[in-house]
Amino acid sequence: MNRGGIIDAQSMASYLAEFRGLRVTDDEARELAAFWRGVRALRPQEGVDPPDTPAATGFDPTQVCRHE
Amino acid sequence: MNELAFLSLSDLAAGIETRRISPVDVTQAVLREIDRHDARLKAYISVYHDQALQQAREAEQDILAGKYRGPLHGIPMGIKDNFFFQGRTTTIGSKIHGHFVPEYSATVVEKLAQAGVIFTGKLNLHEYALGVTTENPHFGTCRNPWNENKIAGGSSGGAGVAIPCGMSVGSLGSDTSGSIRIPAACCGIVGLKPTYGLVSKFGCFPEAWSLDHVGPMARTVADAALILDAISGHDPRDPASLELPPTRLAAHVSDDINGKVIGINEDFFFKDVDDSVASIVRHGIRCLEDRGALIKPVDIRHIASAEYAITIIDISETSTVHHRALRERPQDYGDDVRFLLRCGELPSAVDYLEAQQIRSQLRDSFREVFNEVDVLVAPTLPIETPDVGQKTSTINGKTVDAVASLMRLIGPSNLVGLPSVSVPCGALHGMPVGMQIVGAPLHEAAVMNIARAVESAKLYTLAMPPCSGGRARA
Repeated sequence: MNRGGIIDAQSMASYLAEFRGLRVTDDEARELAAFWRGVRALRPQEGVDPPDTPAATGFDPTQVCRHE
Repeated sequence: MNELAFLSLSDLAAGIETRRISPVDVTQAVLREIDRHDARLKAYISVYHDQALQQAREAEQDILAGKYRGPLHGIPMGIKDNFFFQGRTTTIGSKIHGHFVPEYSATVVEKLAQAGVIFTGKLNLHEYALGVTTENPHFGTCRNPWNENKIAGGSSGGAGVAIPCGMSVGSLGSDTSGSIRIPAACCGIVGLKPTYGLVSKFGCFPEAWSLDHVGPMARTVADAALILDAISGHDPRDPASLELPPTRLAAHVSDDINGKVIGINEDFFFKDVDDSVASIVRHGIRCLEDRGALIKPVDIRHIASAEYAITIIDISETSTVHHRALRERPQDYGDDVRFLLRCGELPSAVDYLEAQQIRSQLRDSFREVFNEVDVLVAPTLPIETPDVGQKTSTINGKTVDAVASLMRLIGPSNLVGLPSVSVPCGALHGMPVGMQIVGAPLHEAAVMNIARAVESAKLYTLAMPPCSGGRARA
C-alpha cells in the first residue's frame, strides 16, 4: 500500500492492524483513506526542499522569539 | 438584569479596588447567570458554587483589610477543563479522564489564584481540545448564545459562551489550531493567542506540544491584556517557556495607530473567503485606514503549504499523546476524536520532518514580512458560523468542509508561534464576525493596539446575547 497514492479500504485496514495495532471497520478505513488523500492533496506539488543545514532538521518554535 | 455579571473586567476591577463593588455580589451575580442558562448552553462541566462564594468572602475581607492584590482580585472566572486544578476533577472534556484528579495545578491556574481570581468552575471544551466545535459527546454541546442552533466554536467553546453571557468575567483558552480565536470569533469576544512560550503550558493537558499556546479570552481588549499580564512570564517547569518577565501590556494598550503599517495578503488570507465575511473585514480595514494606519499589500512565501504542514504536525503529535489509550480504550473516545487520532497514525517520519521544514521556511517568510509591516490583518474565519452538526459550509456558492475551513486562516500563526488576536469587527445575520490581527514574535502590543482601534471604532454593534436580556452593547 502506498499511503500517499492509491489507497483502498482493505489495505488501509490491513496496514493499521498490522503496523499500528488498530482495528477499524471497512467503512472507517474508507473514511481514513479519503482523509489521507485530502491531506496529501495539500502537500506542495513541487515537493519540499530538504534542509540545507543540520540545524534546520528540527524545529524549535521558541527560536522564533529567541532569534529576535 | 443582573448588571454586575456583564461589566467588563476593567470596570469591575476599578469598582472592587475602590470598594464600590463587592466581590461577593459579583460572584453571586455570575453564579445566578450560570444557574439561569447553563442547563441549556452547556458552558460549564462543573460549577463551584460554595467554594466560589467562600473565596469571594475571603477576597472581600482581604480587600477591606487593605490587602488588594490587583485588577484580578475578586474577579469570578470559569476555567477550561484542560487546565489542571490540584485536588479537583479535571476531565479534559473526556470520558477517559472523567475522574482524573491532578496532584498539582497548572502554572496559569496558580498565577490566577495568586492574583485573587474567584474560580466559578470548569468550562466545557471539545473532547481533549481535539476539535473546533465543542460538540462534546460526554458533557453536552455548547450552544452559541447569539443563536443556539449555531456552534460556539472550539475547542474553548465553554469560555466563548460563558464570557458574553455573564457566566464568567474572562477566562483562559488553549490554542493549537485556533481554539482561542475560533470561539472568540463565533461568540463575539476577544481572544488572544500570544507568542509561543510567553505563557506557561505546564499543567495544561497537551494536544500537539509544538503548536500549543495558552492565552486570554475576554469581553474587551483591555480585559485580555490584564489577564495576559497575570499569566505570562517564565516558568522553568515548561521547557518551551521563554526566559522573560511577565508582560505589562494593560498599561500600554492604546487605540492610537497613526502611521502603523497593516499588511494585507490577498493570496492566502483573503482567498477562498466568503464575500459576505470578507466585506465586513475589509470595512474594518478601511476604518483603520481612516484612523491613520497605512495599508500595504504583502506576499508571504510558502504560506500555501501552511495547511499541509500544520495538519501533519498536529495529528502526528496529538496521536503520539493518545497512542496507548487509542489501542486500549478506542470505544471511550467520541467518534470524531477517535477518527482524528487514527488519522494521526498515518503520516510517516518523513512527512512530519518535511512539515517541520515547511515550518522553518514559513518562519523566515514571516520574518521578511514583519520587516515591512507592523501587523497582518485578515478574517479570523472564512465562513459564517456553522450550525450544530453541520459538516459542510459554502464559500461563494462552493461547498467546503466546515471544520477545515474554520481552522484554515488561523493555523499559520500557530505554526510559527506568532501573536494573533481575534476581535469582533461586525455582524452577519445576527452573528458576530471576527477580525484576526497577527504580529511579529513578542509584538503583542502591536496586535492589541490594532484590536483596540477596531473596538473603539464600534464596528461591532450587536446587542448583548438574548440570554442577557438583549441590552445594547456599550
